[in-house]
Amino acid sequence: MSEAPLAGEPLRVRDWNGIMSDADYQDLPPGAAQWSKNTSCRKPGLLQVRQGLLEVTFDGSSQSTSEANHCIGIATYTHHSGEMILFQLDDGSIQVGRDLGVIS
Amino acid sequence: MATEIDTGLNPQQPITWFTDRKGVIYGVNGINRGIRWDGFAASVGQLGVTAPVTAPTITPDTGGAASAGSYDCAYRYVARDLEGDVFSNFSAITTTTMTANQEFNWSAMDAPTEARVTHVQLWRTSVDQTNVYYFVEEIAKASLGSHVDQNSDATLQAQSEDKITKLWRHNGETVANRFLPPPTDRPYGVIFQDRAWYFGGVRLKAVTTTDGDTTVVMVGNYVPATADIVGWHMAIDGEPITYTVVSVSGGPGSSTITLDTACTTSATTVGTLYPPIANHRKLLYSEVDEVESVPLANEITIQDNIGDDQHITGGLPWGSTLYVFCERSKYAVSFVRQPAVDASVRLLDKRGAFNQNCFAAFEDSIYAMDDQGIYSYNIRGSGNGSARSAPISGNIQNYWRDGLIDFSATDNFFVEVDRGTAQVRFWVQLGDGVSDRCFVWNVRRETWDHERYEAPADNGFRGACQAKLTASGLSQKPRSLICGSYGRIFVREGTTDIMTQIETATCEASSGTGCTLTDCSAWAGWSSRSYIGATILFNETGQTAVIKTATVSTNKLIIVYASTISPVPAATATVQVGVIPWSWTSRRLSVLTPQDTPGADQQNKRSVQVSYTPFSGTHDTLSLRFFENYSSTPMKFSRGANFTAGISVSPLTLDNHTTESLYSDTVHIDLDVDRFSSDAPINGFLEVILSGQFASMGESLRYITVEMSGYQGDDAIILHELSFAGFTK
Repeated sequence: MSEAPLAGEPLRVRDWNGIMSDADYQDLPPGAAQWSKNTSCRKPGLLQVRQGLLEVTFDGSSQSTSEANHCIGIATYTHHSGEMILFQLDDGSIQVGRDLGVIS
Repeated sequence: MATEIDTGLNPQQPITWFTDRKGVIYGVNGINRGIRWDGFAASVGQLGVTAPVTAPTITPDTGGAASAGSYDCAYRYVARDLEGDVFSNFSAITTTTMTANQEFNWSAMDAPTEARVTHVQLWRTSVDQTNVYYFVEEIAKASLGSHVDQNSDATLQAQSEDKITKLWRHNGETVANRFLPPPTDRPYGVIFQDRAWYFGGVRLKAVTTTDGDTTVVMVGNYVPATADIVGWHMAIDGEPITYTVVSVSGGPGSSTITLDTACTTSATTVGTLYPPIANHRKLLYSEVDEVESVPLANEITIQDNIGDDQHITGGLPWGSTLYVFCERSKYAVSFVRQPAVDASVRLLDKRGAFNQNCFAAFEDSIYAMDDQGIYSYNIRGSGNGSARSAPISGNIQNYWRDGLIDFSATDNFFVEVDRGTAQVRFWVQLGDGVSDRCFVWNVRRETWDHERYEAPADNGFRGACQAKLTASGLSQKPRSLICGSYGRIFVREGTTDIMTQIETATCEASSGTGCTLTDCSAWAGWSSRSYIGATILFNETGQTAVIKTATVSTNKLIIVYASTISPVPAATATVQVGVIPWSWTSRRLSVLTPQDTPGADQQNKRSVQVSYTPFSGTHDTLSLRFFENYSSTPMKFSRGANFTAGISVSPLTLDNHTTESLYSDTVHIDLDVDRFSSDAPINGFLEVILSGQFASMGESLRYITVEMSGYQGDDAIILHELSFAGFTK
């Protein structure tokens, strides 16, 4: 049986419009998603999977903290000597991180 | 490793930080005494200096130069910091009568108990005066004892201006006693026009047992057991009135609280502690450039102008305005010189913020999240008040309207600004108890994405900040950092989660709650790296699990999952660790009908085409599933083996067309395989044919939904185009 394409251009999705979950899914723009996870259009025309997540290290160490407690807050401290971050753990302590790197 | 600079803070309320123009950072949480840190000291200091209580003993004696008459004497503490002195208020005042040419013998002064205090200053009036005080002497803290003052009034009066002070200005403002430490019961602080502002109030809930008398016991690891909460109010479920805390003892874990009035019942219920309600809409402010001086008179009240006495949830200074957020409204505070005289408070609109982390400024707008959704407030836009406020969460509003976000967990929600990518992330919980997902507002494109980060593996993320990575070899571009479970800070970098590259291994034991991986000693960071939060992909079954704990045993890794998985993977399963799951689901597309195009009721070509950036890695996957009409079950394909090289719809064992139960519902695309010719380069294009015939009156395909999904590994997955032939817009 014939499989000739019908007249007209294919429906091309090149403009990724993100998620539109609060609408009739038949009425969305062609590049919109009912739902997505970990994708985004960071560069016009491209749908990309998000970047990875790596642990930040301080002062050249290979690990940021002891892992015994959870972080409950974080702030940047722009000091005259340079930038550092302060973060609070749920054991009631405040930690300071300087010379920020990323685990390698 | 990070350096610890403080301990013992109550973690029920995260610290709010602010920095003055001397570069000192301050923190308050509304429960404990505030803290300050200059970036150099080994540990933080307390906010403010508490005044000495006891009045000095003044013993007149011969040998001095006093005039005959009455003198007032007092002393105060000094904290000599790198950035300048911070004083206490005066002690209680001693009035003494001197005769001519006597000396003042000072003694019995309170020794400082606060570690910050370095010196003690002695001050007294001239004869028969009560308002103006003159500096007498400064004594090192360790040398405080008895001191002799043989100065004449004239000698003291000849000193420079900084050695003369007064108790009151002519307009009643306090001067020498303006150094009252900031309040301990305000969880929010900001610097606004060179003054520090303190406001808001916490509410601490815990299991509470009443005894039918004035003693109650609150049980919880972080129930305050300090005098900081004396004077607070306590509401107890089932009790007819609100009580006031008289004293507290015990803790941690269990605090015994004495109330001002006996409770009516003996019961175990829930109690709520909160500061005096009369303060909850008062803004306290410091003296100019004196962050730690907050005299009692320095306050303005945000009046309730909308009949809804909401709690303050945070504040954001911007230019000449301090934006004060409540739960469902927002106010603008501004002043010229003295807030008590010339401050103005305006209701802006009826949009607020869940908490102090649920708003952030990016470029010229504030982005905030409240119980109505997500909105932006244009700071520099035209119009006033609500004219500048624009709801932006319309495309995902069902998450608010239908209660899909967990409104009971809004204390954990927060907003993250990423300057480098012009994205604002709104972190929420969706009922699974972990704040590990966010809605991403792409500011330039005004679109929404959804991201989920498995990395917390337990307690979720709790906050974000902007910072540069300064270690060598890294770009110093603006970055957003997020903090969360297990004391870890994360940054977006690379293509894998937690692992710097995909690591592979084989199980030697497996259960629904964990597995043991054989020789992993070649993994990057082996024996020193945390693998918590990495996603494990089981190759044979396609299941995933997230690592909650990972214990090194010689060259093996004993893993516990964050959640139980089922069915149990084979004991010899092979895994990839560090992948990022992803998916994208299209709109529902209509097939062409004869009304769209003549001939559509004949057998026609329908196809879905995907173009992508090809690569040579082996850990990335792209799969397609198709959903017919309104079905939530994906279409099944009977065709086994390969469509063409690199595209398969089933395990390799599938016998084509014979057993429907073995049909596959997923089209797998091997992204690194040349599907068409071994001699040609990979072209990054694939096409899945879905040809068919439209039957106008019968059951047939009318709509189709396409889902793309897979896992990102060592290479970035980049899709250029999705094309549908035989479908309408």
